[in-house]
Amino acid sequence: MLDNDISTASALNHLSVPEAAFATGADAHALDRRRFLQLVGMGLGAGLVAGPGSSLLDTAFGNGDTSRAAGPIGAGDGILIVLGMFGGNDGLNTVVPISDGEYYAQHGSLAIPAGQTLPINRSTGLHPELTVLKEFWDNDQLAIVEGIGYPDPDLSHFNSMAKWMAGQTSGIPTSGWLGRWLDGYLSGSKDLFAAAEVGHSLPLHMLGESSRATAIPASRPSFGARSEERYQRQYQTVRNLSASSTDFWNRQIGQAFVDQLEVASEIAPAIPEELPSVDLVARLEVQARLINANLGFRVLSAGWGDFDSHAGQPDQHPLRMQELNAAIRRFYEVLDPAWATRVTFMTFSEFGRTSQANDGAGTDHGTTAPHFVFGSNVQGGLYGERPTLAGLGRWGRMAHHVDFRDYYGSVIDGWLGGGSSEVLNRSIEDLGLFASAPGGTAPNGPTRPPGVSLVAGSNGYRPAVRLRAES
Amino acid sequence: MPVKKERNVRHLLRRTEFIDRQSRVDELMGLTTFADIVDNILGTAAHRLPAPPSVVFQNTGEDDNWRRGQELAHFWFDRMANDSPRPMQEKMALFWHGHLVSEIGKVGSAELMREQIDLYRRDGLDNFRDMVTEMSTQVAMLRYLDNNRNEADSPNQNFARELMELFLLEVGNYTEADVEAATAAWTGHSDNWQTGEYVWLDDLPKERWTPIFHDSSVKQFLGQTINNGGDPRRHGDETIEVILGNGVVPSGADKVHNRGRPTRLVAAEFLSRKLWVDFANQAPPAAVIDAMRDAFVAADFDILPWVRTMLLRDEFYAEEVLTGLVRSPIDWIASLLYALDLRSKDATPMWLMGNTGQLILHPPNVSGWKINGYYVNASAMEARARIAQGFAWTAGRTYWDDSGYLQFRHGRLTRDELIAAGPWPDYIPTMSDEEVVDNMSDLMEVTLAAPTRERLIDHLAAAGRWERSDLVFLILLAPELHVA
Repeated sequence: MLDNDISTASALNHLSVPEAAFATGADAHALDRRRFLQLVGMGLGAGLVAGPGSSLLDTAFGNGDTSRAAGPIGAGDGILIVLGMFGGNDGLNTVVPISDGEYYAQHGSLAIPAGQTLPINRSTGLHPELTVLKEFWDNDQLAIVEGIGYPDPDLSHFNSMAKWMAGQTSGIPTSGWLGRWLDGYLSGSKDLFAAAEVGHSLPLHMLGESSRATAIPASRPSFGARSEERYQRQYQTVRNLSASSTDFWNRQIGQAFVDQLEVASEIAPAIPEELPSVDLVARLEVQARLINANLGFRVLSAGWGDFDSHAGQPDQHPLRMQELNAAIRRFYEVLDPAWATRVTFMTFSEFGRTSQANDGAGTDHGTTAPHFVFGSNVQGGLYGERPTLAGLGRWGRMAHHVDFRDYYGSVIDGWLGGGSSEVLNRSIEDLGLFASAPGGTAPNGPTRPPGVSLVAGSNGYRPAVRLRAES
Repeated sequence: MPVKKERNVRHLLRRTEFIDRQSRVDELMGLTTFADIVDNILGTAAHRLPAPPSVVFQNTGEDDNWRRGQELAHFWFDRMANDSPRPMQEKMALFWHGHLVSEIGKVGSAELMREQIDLYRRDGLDNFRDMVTEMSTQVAMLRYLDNNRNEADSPNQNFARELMELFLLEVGNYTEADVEAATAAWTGHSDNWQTGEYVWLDDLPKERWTPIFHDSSVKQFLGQTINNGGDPRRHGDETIEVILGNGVVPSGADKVHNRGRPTRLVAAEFLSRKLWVDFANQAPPAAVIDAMRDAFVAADFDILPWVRTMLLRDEFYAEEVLTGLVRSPIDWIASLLYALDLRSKDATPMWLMGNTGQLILHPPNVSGWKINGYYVNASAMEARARIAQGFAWTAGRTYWDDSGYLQFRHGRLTRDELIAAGPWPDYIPTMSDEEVVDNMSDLMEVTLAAPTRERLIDHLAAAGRWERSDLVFLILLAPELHVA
């Protein structure tokens, strides 16, 4: 049940799973034979036996609690990785307008001197921490889309994020844009291994009208992954308990425990016990390993923050950039090179920040910001249009030039096989972000972004992140 | 008036005191009317208790801030689960902690978080306006929403915006001009980073070139004049007084249907929905919100009569409300500490709580705690399973050593009872599988649904006596333990 308008409370609910979304859980569907054979071939079958009634075979033929309708990834399938920057990223300090005097006047002490940036042309420099993105740029594989936003911008974090995640700017969202793509991809069937958020909750953009992504922990799942009889008996009892009630939330909770067992048994073998200590870096390593395992994932998502730098931005924003860079680096260290031509990254945030800095070394909520699309098949370059800073006062906000729905649509049509008009309910202006179709450069061939070491952790990255008190 | 019957009382207790403790069920069922029951829970005048005690930190070193944060968290869990004679005080404090949000990482001080939480614990059922006013200039909030960096020459909108959007009025019921006016009214407050003391910046010794930190220019705010003389330290408070007083939703506000309405009504509706969603379910009935709004405004924003109105509505006991809420991870932990008679510091794995979606003192962002679906997914359930394993392991420490028992809320089960009585080789368990399930759930004071009970008995039959202690863990994973 949703509010009659986008109140804050409903917007908040939209950022995770609204109750209505639970009502449509589709039942098991038969496993695609191609995928089934692959799973067995990978030797995962043995570990999946979880007692009577839920062996891989039962699951495969539609008798289990969940299924994998989509099968493993097809020869021409692209994989999208979506990174959400929560709190409103300062786009001016991410893609720095190094030739713009207004930027240096308005951003004041926050402004990054041109010589410290990683210059990509005379008027543009990347944040100094974004060395991996600079490598993508040099290899013509980084698209920078400038001036993304939407009409009548909302300065509330939660309303604006709800709009971005929903992929719509008005009305009451009941689903997110990638969720609706998933609806079409799965045709209403259930598949735990088609799309995932690596984190502990499911954000709105990963929620469809008839299907939703899976939440996967950013650590090796331990419960559900043991093969000893005693544990297998426990897992079976947990499955049995899930069916013991007809109450709505009892059933959802029971099903979530069953999903958890399914996920754990499949992915635990692919996830190491030790993961990097910085959360985002760990999450992208998990994503890379999920791709390597070829479980069928087409969309993987992760969000992090805090980007809401009202004060003390110099102690905050560089760390976020450092984390982003380290996470991408780690991802490509772990990713099997054969998969590189299948992967495209994209970023989003609920808004940018004001160009006028305050004396507290911070900025307030803004409107528009640039975002990155990168990967081996991306056509590098600058897209969109840079908003002017001329004449912006204390509370002045930049105008946007690219609608975020065109941004999304260009990725849906250029990388995920199409469907933008169904997903976004409008026709989009394609930005033409891709140089080639997924796998097109060298099907399963070894391509690797330049300069990225094969040796895990060899870059010696140790961010000076002030980790919050570990509890 | 809701019917005085055990199911209603249990529901009421689970939503207000975390757990439907049998002793409380018995006590409350002995009262005359349902209103008496609600009044007892709320501690209205007849039952009023002294303010709850505050945690006394044992780790007092300069470098012990992190440990003090742990102490505060464990102290609070123990209050919720076992120590408070009026758990509703802690429940309301938890609600306010999730509504008037601060996060210990950004605040950077366990003492300052204690001060804020203690305010919510002490005044969480008193006057809302007074509590919000005091909260606004506590250093925890000054730091969390950067109002310690909000100066006349360099305004910072973070606090003023969220005060309106998330704490009081809800987005769409004001304009950007109101945000800018409120921001000005809240200028001039700060803190001492080292000592954590509050500082009014214009009290600091001034040089010729030092600016005035408080913006004293007269402002129009929600149709009222504010910032117009008087004590500049109180100018910010005026924004709260206007919103909960004579303010009017401006004609330029996004919510067309609220334009021209008194902001106190709009605020009371917003807060009423928030309270209902946290205590009842995701679908606040319009008639209830109207009644709660009227009660809140009529009581000049006293919280107790407002909550009382909600708890005495028939709708609060409707079937869709009885089954309408997932136990949040914090609620669930409180129930485990109670069932297994454990102290939080011995059992609660704080490092796993973030993976459940809810880590106490660390709300995910300024919008605070979420409900229901946010906590129900494969990833969050993996965390719950590991936490349950940890609790079962803690409870089982005395099982395999010489002590030989499992401790529960209401007593022990011994290894002899579960595995074998008498000397080797005459292993004869005293209890049947049915008795083990029934006795253990009774000792934990947990009510299992009939099918759950049967499946747990099946488990014991299949597993054999050496795995009987696994039942502790499996009970903690039963879906009904995760529903509020």
